[in-house]
Amino acid sequence: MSSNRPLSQELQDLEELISEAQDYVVPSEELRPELLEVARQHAKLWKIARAGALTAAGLVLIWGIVVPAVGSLSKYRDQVTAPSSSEVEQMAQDRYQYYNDDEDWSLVETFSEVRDLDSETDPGLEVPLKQLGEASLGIGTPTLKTVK
Amino acid sequence: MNATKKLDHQVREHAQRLKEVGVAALNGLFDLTAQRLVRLAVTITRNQHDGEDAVQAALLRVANEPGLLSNADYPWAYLLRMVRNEALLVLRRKKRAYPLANLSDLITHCTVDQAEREEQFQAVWKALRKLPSTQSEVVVLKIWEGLTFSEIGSVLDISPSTAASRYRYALEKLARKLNSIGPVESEQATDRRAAV
Repeated sequence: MSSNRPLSQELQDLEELISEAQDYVVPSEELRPELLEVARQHAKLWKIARAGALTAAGLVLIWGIVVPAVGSLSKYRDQVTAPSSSEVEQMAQDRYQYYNDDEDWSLVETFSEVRDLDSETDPGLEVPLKQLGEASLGIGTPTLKTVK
Repeated sequence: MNATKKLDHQVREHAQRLKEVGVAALNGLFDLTAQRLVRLAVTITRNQHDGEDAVQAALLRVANEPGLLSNADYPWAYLLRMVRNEALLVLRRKKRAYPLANLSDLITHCTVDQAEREEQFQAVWKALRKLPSTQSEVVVLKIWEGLTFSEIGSVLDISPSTAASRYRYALEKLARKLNSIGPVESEQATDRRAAV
């Protein structure tokens, strides 16, 4: 190119030359399908991650409700459960010592009383162990059957 | 409405559609912007594949968070900035140097009436590759994207006057490389001034 032209004209020509080359480089044919494929996979993963996060949040919420509820219900455990075999055995032992009765009969009587008291009370709200213990010794209500 | 404002408006519309429809709307944004974004990214990374990686990463981010563009004051400038940042990340990650004079990585397109000028286009791309990317990106944004120095400043996070001086140095170098206006001054002198 000639260097006799004014500098501004030269620069303008240069800008024009550069401008004409702007569409020379184009995106490859693979770019669009690749981009869309990856974007779809990302969207899918995003949905899965969101569902996972929601499930985890739900579980944490349920855990937060259930654990304190179970804790507070355990206070009433004694009132809603039947005596265990060791507890019945202990009551029979107490009865045996109190009445100085036959050991086997004490056990039979204790079982009978547990059964009687169980049928008298609401099935969902059985007699507290303490009350049962007192009953088996004849010192509380309900009245004990007379021991032979 | 000038070209940049029109692009701003179109990019915002596509971002809104992405928000409403999801990934399916990415096609429209790709058609509108891909070529422009690729040529900017390729100028920075000096490699077509790396440039496309940067464009893909930026558009993926837009697909996941379309609000980034739809809520931006200047969505087109914001998208250019995203692609530039991704291109710089790719550059940092790869750290391998490509031969600057080699254009074999480029995917090119020439219409029949432009075939005679292909050598000229190649010369321009070769010359751009030999510039520091801080200068070549200003040339791309100024000449190919038609941004003002103020807009270039906001894309590159530099002042408009810095953008203008980088542009001037770049053109001086390009002029010498393309042999259009002859040596104005030595390249070392230009580099020293650019560094200042």
